[in-house]
Amino acid sequence: MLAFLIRRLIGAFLVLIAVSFITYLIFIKIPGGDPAPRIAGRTATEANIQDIREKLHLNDPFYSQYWAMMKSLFTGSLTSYSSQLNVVEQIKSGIPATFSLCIGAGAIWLFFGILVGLISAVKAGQWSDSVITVFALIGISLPVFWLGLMSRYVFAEDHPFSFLPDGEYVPLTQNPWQWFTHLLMPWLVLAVLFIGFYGRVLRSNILDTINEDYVRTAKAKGLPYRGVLVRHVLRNSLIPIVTLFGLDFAAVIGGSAILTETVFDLKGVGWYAAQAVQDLDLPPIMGVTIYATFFIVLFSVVVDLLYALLDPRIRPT
Amino acid sequence: MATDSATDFTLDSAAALAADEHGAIEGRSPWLLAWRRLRRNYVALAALALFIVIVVTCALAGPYAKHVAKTGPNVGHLGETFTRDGQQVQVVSKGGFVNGKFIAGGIPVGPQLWHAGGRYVFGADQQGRDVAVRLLYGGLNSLKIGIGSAIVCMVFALVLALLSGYYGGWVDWVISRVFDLIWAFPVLLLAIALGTALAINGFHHFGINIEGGSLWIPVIVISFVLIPYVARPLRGQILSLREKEFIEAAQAQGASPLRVMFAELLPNVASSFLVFFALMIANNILTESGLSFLGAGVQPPNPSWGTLIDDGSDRLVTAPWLTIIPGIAIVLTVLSLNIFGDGLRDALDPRAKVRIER
Amino acid sequence: MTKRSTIRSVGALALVSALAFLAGCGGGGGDKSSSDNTGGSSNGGKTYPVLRIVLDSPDYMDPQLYYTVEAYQWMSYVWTGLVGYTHKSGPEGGQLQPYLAEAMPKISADGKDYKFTLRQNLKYSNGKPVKASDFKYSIERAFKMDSPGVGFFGEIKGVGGSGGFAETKKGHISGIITNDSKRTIEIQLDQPRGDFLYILALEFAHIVPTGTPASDQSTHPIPSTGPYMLKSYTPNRGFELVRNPNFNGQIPTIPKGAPDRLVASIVSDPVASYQRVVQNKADFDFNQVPNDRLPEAQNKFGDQLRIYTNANTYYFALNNKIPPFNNIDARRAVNYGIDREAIISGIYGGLGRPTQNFLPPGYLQYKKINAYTFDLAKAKQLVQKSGTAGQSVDVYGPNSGLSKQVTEYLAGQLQKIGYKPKLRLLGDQVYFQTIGNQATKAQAMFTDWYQDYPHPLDWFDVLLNGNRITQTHNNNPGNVDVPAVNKEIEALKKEPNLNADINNRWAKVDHDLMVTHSTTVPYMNISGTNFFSSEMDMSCYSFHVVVYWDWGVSCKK
Repeated sequence: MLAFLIRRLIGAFLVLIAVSFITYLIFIKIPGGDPAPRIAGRTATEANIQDIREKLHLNDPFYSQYWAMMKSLFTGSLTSYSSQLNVVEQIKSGIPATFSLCIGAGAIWLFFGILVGLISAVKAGQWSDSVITVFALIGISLPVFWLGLMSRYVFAEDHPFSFLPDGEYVPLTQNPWQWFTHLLMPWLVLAVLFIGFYGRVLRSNILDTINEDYVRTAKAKGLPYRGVLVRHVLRNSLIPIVTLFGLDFAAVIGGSAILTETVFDLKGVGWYAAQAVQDLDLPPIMGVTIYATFFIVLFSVVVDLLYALLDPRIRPT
Repeated sequence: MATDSATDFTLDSAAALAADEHGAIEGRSPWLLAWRRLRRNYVALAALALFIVIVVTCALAGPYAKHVAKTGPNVGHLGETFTRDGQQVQVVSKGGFVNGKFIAGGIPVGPQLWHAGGRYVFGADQQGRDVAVRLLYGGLNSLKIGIGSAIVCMVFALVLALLSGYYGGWVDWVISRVFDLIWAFPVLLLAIALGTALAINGFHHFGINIEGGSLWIPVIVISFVLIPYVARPLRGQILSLREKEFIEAAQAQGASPLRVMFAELLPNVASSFLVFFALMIANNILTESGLSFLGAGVQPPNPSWGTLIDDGSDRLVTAPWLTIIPGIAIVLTVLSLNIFGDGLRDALDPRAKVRIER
Repeated sequence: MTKRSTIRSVGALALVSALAFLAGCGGGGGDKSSSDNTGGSSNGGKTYPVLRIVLDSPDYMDPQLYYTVEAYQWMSYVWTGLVGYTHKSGPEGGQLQPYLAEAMPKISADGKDYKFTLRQNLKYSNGKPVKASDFKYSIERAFKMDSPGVGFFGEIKGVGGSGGFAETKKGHISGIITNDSKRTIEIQLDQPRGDFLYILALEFAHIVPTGTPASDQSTHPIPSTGPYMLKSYTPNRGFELVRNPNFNGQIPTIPKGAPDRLVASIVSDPVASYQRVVQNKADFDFNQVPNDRLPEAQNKFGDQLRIYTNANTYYFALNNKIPPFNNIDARRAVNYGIDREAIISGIYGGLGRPTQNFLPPGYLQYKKINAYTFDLAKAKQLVQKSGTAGQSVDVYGPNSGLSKQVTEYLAGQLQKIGYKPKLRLLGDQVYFQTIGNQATKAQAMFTDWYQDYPHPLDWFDVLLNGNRITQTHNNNPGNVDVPAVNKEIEALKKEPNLNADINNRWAKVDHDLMVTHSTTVPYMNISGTNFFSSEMDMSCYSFHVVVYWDWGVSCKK
């Protein structure tokens, strides 16, 4: 187990370096990305600009620039090109919104996804299964940003139906009730997509598993049906869900909830990243990429461990 | 010994299958059986029909623009008027200061349906462009990108999975590490970053020259970031197939690796492949719309369903049709593909339809 | 609703100073709902507890750094300089008054020497006294921080040239001589500048205590001299102003301020900020009311809406140095090929006025130009005549908001008159530097300008003087370079006072550049919206040229 963990940690570290370097290369290659004139402003002098280039090591060869940027990122002193704000600070200030959004939505989609999958599997072939399937399919066919726009308009802006606040994030510590109402729509919008998907995956897993020989054996042994369902079928069907959830959750928390955050003006990490990409602002992009990759790697290790826990045939190697 | 549910039959499921079929199954190829099952799935067929209708309608964008709407997808008509039921109507409402009083203007005209003789059937946008024309041209772009990127992605994923699964060893190791790397990237962020980075100036390296506004950019970006998602499951399947006796048999007969890969392994993953393909088109259309919405996909003034929603998003109150209509187009297209893909999967892998015994 | 926080949705990267309502602004005085506003009255010294505002993100809260209206409108009551503007609505507001200086300066006959004396007993918000040498420190601090404002101080002795303070940032600026015990400040210039007093009113010359670190102090509020002090600032979230306990009316020319506290929330989405005010969760929406909501705002909340026009011009720059627009007929064609009324009416919802001048109306140097009508046929003809028909044109513009739409419009029109436009849209942050780079070879560009201060030098010298074209960060992206006009601008620069003759010469410069040589395509002076909650008492509404809505003299019901 220890060897496994160590090996994974080293792998994670290498991945982080590779990812950050590639991101860096992508943006170095973009013409017009020179930040010095941008920081200096429209009426700056040549001296200003040269000075800024010195300060930001922009005249150094690209690998030492990369190294300088990584160093300042990890010591927390990296500042953005467009706003002189500290990147790590900005990411930190975006974390509450992103975490609130993702954890809430994740809980909702996991719970309902499993529920939907269970029900439609149990009722397989009946009309209720078809109805659920249709809704699930519609759910995964909706563009999340479109759904967000529509729901914002209907529930937050178009009197007299509007009873929900119109976007933005209210910190939990500031006002719990408002925190909740402001996040309700984003949660549901983000969850809809996944509920449909997870429901269907679980359904097909259950239906596959239900016919395995070992299930028949369990029933033949006289075990109660419920028990069989839960202990054997469910447990095995959930394993792929665990994997999926781990990776999806890592992705959204790492900033892939960009569309939702943008549409609802939740200034989380994803929103911050989208802004930075728009502005070709390299430091925040690097910062967010490291942040996101970290979560992805973390969760894949967690998922592997959970997998081993749930499926005794598998041992982490 | 773990059962691999993807390829093993049990006695009961086989019996249920036979009962399910409305005809003889002995001696029929799995493909024919699949086709028969698909043929009976009316919902899936209807979905396929819907998708085909959508594709054909979009393909008729050119004639529609020329003969019915009499304008182009990027031609604005700000400040102009058109005839509706005999009256002259402003395409975009006039606003400004009149006698010192300010009148809010800039409201584009709504869906005219057939009252304006074929113009502005779905209304106009803020620049006075015909929404219906842009919807069709946009659909063409979205479909091209969705289907194109699915093809590119599947081809690359298939080749990599075959190589990786067949050769194993260090080939597999290298390819898997590349997948890991791509997988570790925050996918959407990577797609947006690439899309934005390449949007203006295009890609001019390694002897390849692609212009900034080209549709190839979103195609490449989307297919690239999704390769691991397809390649990994395929690789898994190939890995398990590889150990089967028929592969051994083929190799014993002296079949070359290429032949084994394409003649033996490939047909066995074909059904997964097909299902993947349909679902991938659906997924890519959604991804493209998201990218275009953020400005990292199709570049203005070219329309795509995503850019149309982006354009319309700041007029939800005064011109809601600008946002609603392209969204519905996306939903219908993606839904039809998902339903059909589902039906395809059911047809190719019938055990999923078997009822739970009580 | 827009989905990106475009800073400055009204487009101002520069300080906006409004010189309104002389000719052609059509305002009926006192017409309450949705018209140009000329009325303005002080609130009679009444105060109220709190003013809640929502606005888009300011860039900084540090006087030597900020350069957006989002910051200036509020910070002009926090940090102050030697001189400042008169707090009255209307054109009078453009007059300068002594703020921290006890009187307007003694200016030498050659215009190269300015002598000020500070008022007595001036204190910062932390109780410490304001010293004359603090002024010198503040200017030097701007240079040390590579502030965007340093370009304005280029003429001060000891700044420019090799070895000058701008280059070395070591030592002191020899051209600023201060004496703390006598409270005197003397500024010596290399050359006279007719607009130098206005420059001293800019935020970059606002006085901060000596020793304030030469780095962005936005989140560590710098002690202030005005009626308010910055209590706290959290980027992307908000800031708060409270009364300066040590102000005690020390600057008689600035109002004491009506609200006891000002609480600002940063909301970049203009729909969300609009909603906040509608629901009475905020009193003032700084962001432009989106076109989507204007009809509703007008119909339901007309009383709470005010529309103002300030000194700005939106124009398309055409690259005069490379084909096709190095040909004057091609440029003329564009001037005939756009429908200015339709742009304003359609894209901007009517919030603006068409223009063919470079200078905005309201300037004494403004003489209305009416040379072009919208005529596609004539435009096509001119394109044919120029021999440039069919050429490809790279059209640059920002990638979001109304600016993007107007750029798309330009591309569409260029196509109609016979060119092959290629649209290239860029993010706000990189846009201006990209078109300011000669290597980009942009052929047609969206751009705009909001005045820094009410003087034609701020327009023609900065933006259209061929002698000031640079390779990078070029403020004249159209590379407008008419030698005779350049000479005239240089000559006019040295004139210390604006009289009728000088004004006429400026008007001729405008005409020469816009008509005779058709170098640029101006189309609009944009109008802005001020939207208030029902709690605000609109009878106190006062619009000031520099501060915009003068909140210092507002009142609540």
